[in-house]
Amino acid sequence: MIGPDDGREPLDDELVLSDLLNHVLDKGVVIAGDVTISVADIDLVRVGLSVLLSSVETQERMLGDGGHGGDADADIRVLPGEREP
Amino acid sequence: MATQMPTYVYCLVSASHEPPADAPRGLDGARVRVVRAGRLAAWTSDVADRRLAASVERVRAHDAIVRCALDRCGLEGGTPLPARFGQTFATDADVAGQIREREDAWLGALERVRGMVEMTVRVRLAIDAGDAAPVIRAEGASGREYLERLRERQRAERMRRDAVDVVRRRVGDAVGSAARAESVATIATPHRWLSISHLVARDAVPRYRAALDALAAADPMLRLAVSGPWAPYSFAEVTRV
Repeated sequence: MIGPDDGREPLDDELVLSDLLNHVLDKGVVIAGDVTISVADIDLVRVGLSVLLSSVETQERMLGDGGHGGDADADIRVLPGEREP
Repeated sequence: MATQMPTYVYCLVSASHEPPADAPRGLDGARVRVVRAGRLAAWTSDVADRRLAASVERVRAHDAIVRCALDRCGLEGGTPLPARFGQTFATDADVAGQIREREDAWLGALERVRGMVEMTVRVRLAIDAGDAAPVIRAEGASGREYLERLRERQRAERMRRDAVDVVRRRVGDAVGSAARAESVATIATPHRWLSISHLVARDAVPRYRAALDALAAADPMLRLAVSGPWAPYSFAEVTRV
């Protein structure tokens, strides 16, 4: 998402950061195999990289955490973003 | 005996393109250096651990090196292939070996993006298609209720696709020949925002921006935001064979 999904318009800074995250984390060449990263900075998730967010939600469900923290040091696969056909 | 630290990769370039002396520092303040592999080179740096945690600072550092490469290669009309964040290798030799395995494919990709940059336009869709989670029959719900929810979801999905098609057409018509290729993704949950990336010749960027400014001015209801130039993150992938 771009900014909080609370109906308000995203701020310019949120747009810029969201664009940066979507480009650098979800795109670009993969030289060998899969890319596996971990998320240690919860702010990165809060600003809303959708692919990462969905991974974190999955992780939280697995942990039965139900909150916002989860295990921030756990490995999280970056899943491909949803593409239009 | 010193042990080599893992190697982190930022981008691939033609072998002749080296980082300038005033290149920014890479991840965690590391110095950027080159690993050569045949006719190609990777801009790399040392990292302490192959398990790499993503942070906003590291993502910014990654992109700063890629932007430096975009400027450096641009001096000779070239464009780097940006690497996705998070790729580490045990040694420089491993990096070189992996690049050599598909050297021709990488060279082809470099040629396809030569002289190009990526521009991205985000457009707010006029509809909210709701959440994309699968419809599950709730305990106690009737089959009719379940089917109605399913039909509602399908209707919303059709509306979303129609809205996406309309926006793609309008943006595509506006930028015209300034865009050489297109990559589209919905990046919001729910699917409220559409992200359209275009491969644009460096000298066509002003024309591209002007076209989208004109589109936005002609229709104030059309909410859009343009970012770039980026290195061609969305157009750098090479199909593995």
